[in-house]
Amino acid sequence: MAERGGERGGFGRGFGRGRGGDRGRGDRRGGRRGPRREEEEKWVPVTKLGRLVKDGKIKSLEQIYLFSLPIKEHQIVEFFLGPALKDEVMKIMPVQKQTRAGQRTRFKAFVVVGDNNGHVGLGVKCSKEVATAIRGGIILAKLSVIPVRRGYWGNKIGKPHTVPCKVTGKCGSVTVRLVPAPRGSGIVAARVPKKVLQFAGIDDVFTSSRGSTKTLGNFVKATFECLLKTYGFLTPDLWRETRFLKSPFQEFTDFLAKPTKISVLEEVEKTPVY
Amino acid sequence: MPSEVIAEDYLKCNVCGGDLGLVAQVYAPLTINGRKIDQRVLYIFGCPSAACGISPLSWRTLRVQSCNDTASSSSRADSTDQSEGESSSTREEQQKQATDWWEDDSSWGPAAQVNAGDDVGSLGMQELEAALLEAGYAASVRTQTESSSQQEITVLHEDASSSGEPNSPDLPVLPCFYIYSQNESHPCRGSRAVSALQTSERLEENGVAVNTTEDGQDEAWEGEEYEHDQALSADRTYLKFKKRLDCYPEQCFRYCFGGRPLWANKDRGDPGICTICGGCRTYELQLMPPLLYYLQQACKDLPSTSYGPNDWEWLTVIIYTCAQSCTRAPSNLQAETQRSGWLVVEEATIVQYET
Repeated sequence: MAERGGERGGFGRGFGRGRGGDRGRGDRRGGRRGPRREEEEKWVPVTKLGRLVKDGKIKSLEQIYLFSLPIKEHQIVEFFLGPALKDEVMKIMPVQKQTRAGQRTRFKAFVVVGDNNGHVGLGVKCSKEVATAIRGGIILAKLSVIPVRRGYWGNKIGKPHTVPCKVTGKCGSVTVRLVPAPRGSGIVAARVPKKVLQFAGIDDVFTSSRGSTKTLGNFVKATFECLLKTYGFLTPDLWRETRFLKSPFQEFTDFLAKPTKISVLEEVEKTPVY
Repeated sequence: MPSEVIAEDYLKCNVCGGDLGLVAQVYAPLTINGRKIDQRVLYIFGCPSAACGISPLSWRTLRVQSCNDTASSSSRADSTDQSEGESSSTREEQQKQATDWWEDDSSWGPAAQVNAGDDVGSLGMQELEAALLEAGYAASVRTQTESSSQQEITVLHEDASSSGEPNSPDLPVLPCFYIYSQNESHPCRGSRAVSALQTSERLEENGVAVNTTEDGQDEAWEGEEYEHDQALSADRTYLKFKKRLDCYPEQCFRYCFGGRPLWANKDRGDPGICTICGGCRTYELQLMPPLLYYLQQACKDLPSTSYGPNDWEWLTVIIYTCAQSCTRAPSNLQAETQRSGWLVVEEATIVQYET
């Protein structure tokens, strides 16, 4: 499933130039199918939200975002986004630690998943083996999938294509600023954040960055922060009074559950109407 | 074992006072310090009434153990020892009448039982988990268990009438589950190691350093540091928990006397000390979320009553029992236990929730 999607996308890139990429892809397909067992395909939900999703009580991922419910199982995201969700390994870097017996090298994988239409997730995983890091990174990325709000630069004709307003995100010393751009500009950014923005479904944007952008981790996380903020920005379209709905936990249980779940009531409708 | 041995208020919920339902019955023999304890069963109770099953106080674990391993109980020993299948547990079920609401039979196959006995030879920490149980969950199995539970209910009624014990007419009928046990191979590394090894070898073969630049662009990235796993809404402890669960997605119980529990979140409760001998308690088993899923799925098809596991929302229930599995009863119970030969002790139950 996810692994095959990744092979389509970017394992070749992740391993660097040279045709190690091709052979890596082929072998992984063969190597993985053998040990995979039937059990790993079936999903038995662990959390309450997972049980509601498996039952079909929740209609879309947007309903989960509306109530800011924490998504703790990556299968939930797979359930809703399914085949549309593509993943790509942006970079694999070795991380070294000095031990008495020499150096211990582990690999850190940066994985981005997205459906090119408003959902994107970023995962960073360190592991002793590359394949484990990639697989773990895909799972972490799916756990971190967020909705991205898109808007217009000028005339509200056609589909939203750029960020709705100037947003800026910071991680470490790196600040990234996204500025709305007219249609046709394309994504004007460095290679790595460009990937994240493409997966988010943003077609045109100007970016500006500051700080030590050589730190890949901080750079992509700062871009991700920006995208996280697009739905946190109150624009005039959202001035309309919110209509409070029942949280899924409240709606689908006969009796009141723990108090923390009930109090999540005041929300904003996530799809702004233009 | 006659059910009168268990005091009435052990079977009542601490919070609401209603009857507790039996969630799991685990036959767990031990060998400690050379002493073989065969007659040892753990009963895990939870409160099924509305909105009550959430608090940790509504959960209780009882350890029922035979005091004397002498001839008086040997006849009982024979009867319970021989068949590890459903027959022994059904016999015990018949003896526990008004409190049997639903059960997960844990039937230990002969191999597993021997393993459990041997592994627990010494009180040292277990390196590997001794057993891991899966629920055989298939539609066909469910219909069979439903029909068998019908039979059990009729059996219960018969016994009730013959012994004259109170039996409320509308006990909810919940299907039983047959549990298979299996040793846990250390998580996931088995299946992934092979393919991972191939990939790393390939990289080294080509002499490709993993961080070469791409597309001819000069991107010199600074070195990275090790980073612990993190997701937007999941912390490291929970991620490890989920990872072990994903290896065996159907696990309902984890058993390892004296081992380490699989924590779901950071707050570790306090197991306290044994009420009888004052010694410390050690981890023995824990319940896992697929148990909730299967119970709730099974209850979905039944007519809804106000009792049910639908309110239960924990991530895991961890059970600690006396490290010595003591048998010396305190003075107030001395007479009682010598008469019946069984010791009933309440053990520590820690419930962990989703945060």
